[in-house]
Amino acid sequence: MTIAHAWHVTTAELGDYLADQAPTLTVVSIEAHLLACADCRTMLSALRRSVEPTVGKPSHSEQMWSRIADRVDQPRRPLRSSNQALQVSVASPPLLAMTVGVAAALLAAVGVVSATYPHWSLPVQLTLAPLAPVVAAVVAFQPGVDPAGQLTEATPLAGNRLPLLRALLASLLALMSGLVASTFGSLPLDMVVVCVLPGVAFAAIVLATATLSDPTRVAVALAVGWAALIFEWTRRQRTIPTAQTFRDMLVNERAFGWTLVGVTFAACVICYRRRDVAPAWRIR
Amino acid sequence: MTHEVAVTGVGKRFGTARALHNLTWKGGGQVVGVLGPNGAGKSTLLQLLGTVLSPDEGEVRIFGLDPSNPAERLAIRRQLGYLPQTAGLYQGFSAFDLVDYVAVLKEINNRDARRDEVRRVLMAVGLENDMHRRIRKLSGGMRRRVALAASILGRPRLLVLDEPSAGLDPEQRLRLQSVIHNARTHGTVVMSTHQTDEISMYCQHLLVLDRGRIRFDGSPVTFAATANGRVWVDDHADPAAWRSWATRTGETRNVGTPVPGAELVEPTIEDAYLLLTGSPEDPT
Repeated sequence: MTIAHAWHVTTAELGDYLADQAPTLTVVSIEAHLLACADCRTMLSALRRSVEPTVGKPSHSEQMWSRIADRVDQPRRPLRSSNQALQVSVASPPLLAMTVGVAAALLAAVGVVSATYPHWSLPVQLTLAPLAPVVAAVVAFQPGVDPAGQLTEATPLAGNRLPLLRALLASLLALMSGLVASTFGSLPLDMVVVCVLPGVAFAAIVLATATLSDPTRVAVALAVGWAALIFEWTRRQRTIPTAQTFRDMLVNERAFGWTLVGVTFAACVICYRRRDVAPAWRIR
Repeated sequence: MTHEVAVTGVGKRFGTARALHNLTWKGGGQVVGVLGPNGAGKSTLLQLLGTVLSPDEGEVRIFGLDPSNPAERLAIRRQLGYLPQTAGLYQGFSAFDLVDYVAVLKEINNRDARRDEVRRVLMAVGLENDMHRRIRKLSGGMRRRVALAASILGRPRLLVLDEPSAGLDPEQRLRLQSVIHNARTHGTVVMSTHQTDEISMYCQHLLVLDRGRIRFDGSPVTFAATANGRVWVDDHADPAAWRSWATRTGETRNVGTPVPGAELVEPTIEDAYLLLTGSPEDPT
């Protein structure tokens, strides 16, 4: 379709436009006109060809540095390969880095306490161990974790499926970190697994409530409550708590019952909110 | 008859703000433009069609399927392309790797077929020479094109584009026209825009939204015709006009109820839009 136009952009205006000297309103007007006017587009192309060799052309050294910078900034092959090997990239680079970072921070905290206050080593381990899966679950839901941002939301793997998959993977990483930590700390291996039980319940609650509100707030509330509980329980002990007293505290019907209640509550919330399309933080 | 997209009595609130109000619309098989001022509810409507949000009231059907049902939502997403207003891409990936990652999420599992598809979409948006550069090295317009490329992966039956031309230069906006034309041959395209000139360039059907309600539903030509006899030019802003603005020719264009003897002119989509949104009558 050919459209006859009553006016055309002048050469001077196009020159200003190419040199980035035109006022904003003029730029908008010129661009709107260019979209519909083949004559002015042809004139713009001709003008660009005549202007480009002299105006705005980078010097030889600038071109060289640009080439070097591009080469340095090229994605490295191992990163690309590992990304493809993971296929779904459930552990996107920011998530992996965060999970490993959190696990390292928790290990460091246990190490510092063990070295300075040996008596508090066990309570601190017990406080922190269940928090690793919770932190992993929270991180999995954070905006910015996904390499493709909001583009992911409408893909078949989006909605709750992808964050849940990521939370599971990050929780496994956190659990492995806890098991590795047990070889350095004073907790026996079976106790480490038991310590993670409350963490499983907490993580399930965080995942469930992610469809209702910001999971970070829920995680912080659970972490503070758990830390207060352990602190109060430790304070009430007449002697220094040992692994056996912690085992007695955690491996009993009451503790398992509460864990079951927590997981059941989380499962109910997830079932009730299954119609929700996306986690709550995505909804603006 | 089953429409590709059917929205019936849909309402959506964000806190106390009502984004959509009892909105009903059915259509498909063409390029549908959604036009409206800021806060009109365009992005919310597109997020509903992109299965990213669920409505508070009413129902959405896409290809006759219910997005609130997980199994049907999955079936919809397998035939859906969605470009959000702000994609928020991870800057450490190259354009190719990022689109490849989205292709994995879109269940294009065969590696060779996936890579061919990724190359095809990147070439379609004009990024053939920049596909291996990292996102952080790309300009804003190029990043927008990366997101656009990811949204047209797999030739979706419904393509939802939220302000696709934002940040694109005139040449790229022309390329966008061919991308939309190609997508149209596979199904329905729904796109939002602020630019009235884009409606005549891209769209066969137009929805005008204002304050969460549909104010017009029909062809762009019919929409422009709604301003017949309501647009006139003068050498000054007419106090009787609802809206007045200076044109490039130095005249003042007025829309509203013309005074007798006014020099009436052929209305454009922009005139009709300004007439509709500038109406002193309360649309509610």
